Amino acid sequence: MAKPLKIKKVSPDDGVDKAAVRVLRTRTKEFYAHWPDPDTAPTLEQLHDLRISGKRLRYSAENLRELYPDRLALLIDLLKRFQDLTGDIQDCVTQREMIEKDLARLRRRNPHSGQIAALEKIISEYGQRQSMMFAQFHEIWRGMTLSEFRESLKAMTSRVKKRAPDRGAEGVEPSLRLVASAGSFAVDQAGDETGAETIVYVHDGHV
Amino acid sequence: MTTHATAAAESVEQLAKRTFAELHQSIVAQEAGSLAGDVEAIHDMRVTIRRLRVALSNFAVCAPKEDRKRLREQLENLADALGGVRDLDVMIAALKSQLLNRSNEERAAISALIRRLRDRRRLRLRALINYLRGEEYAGFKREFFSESTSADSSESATERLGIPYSVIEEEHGQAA
Repeated sequence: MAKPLKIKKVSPDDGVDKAAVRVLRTRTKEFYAHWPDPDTAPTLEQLHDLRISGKRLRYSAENLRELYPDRLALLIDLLKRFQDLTGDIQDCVTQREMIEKDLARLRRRNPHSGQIAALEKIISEYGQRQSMMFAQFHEIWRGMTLSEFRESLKAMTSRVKKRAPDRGAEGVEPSLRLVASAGSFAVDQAGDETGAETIVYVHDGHV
Repeated sequence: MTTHATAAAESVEQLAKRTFAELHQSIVAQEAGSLAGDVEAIHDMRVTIRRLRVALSNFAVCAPKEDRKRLREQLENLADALGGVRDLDVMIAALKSQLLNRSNEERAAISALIRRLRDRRRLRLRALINYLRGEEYAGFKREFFSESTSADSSESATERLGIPYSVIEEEHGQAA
């Protein structure tokens, strides 16, 4: 498992706003480091590291969300869904391994057991489900690696929210709007922003 | 609940100690449920451990290296003990949901597998209970504010960890 990246240039006496920006920037960098090119096939280890870094980013965002009122809601929601899907894929991998071990034991102890064929079928179903979920996840990851998406993510986390300016005044807050359609993974949330929005429509992997 | 205004006025150290203390308290709060083998308590305890591990790396600057190392080891061992049970809970739930729309042979195979997994869960739960009743977990419970609230404590967590972690002490105006 990849270690978390160190948070640099922060001291205990610094204000939390500075630390928050550094933490989220570092965790975002780490998140994107494992499988940078979605056109290449990832290894299981890359997928595992991506899943773990996604959790680190989500938990960091949740810990710091009060410094970014409402602005991180979409990111957190997106990461939760990301985590659900990658978690399901991981469950498929671990459960399949567990059944394979159980099957090997059963074959040794009782080679003529009627349960063997049933367990073989279940293992094959796990494989199919894993492939299906991975295809879904792959499309989502394509959307999340688009430069427009990453830029808006960076803008959204690059400074904590100051006191609300008047509508139309300077100091508008960046926000993220993502519409992803890939199976059950659909998010459409604008947030409460007072000014400009960066809108990224991710539709079957195309903007 | 801390408001945005108060949160923004905090230093990194203040936010770190508040986060560490809250997460530590949440972990310990799941102890009774985990000892009883409750599926949700075991899951919640494990998730909160992950959150505390992330907080420890995000605010590493606020805790001495040796304290972070000790905490990381304690959290890793606790997470492993919980994970052993949790993985089986997830698997058993997944298999139970597959019982419908199956042939009789498949249902029999799945039910037999579930029984074997439950036997294994009992063993792993015993290992978890042993861990939760052991020295290392007792030490973990004394980390952060727990020890400093004890009247007979000769050395506070604040002193041991090198930073004023105790939220309770601070709320009573006694923090260093």
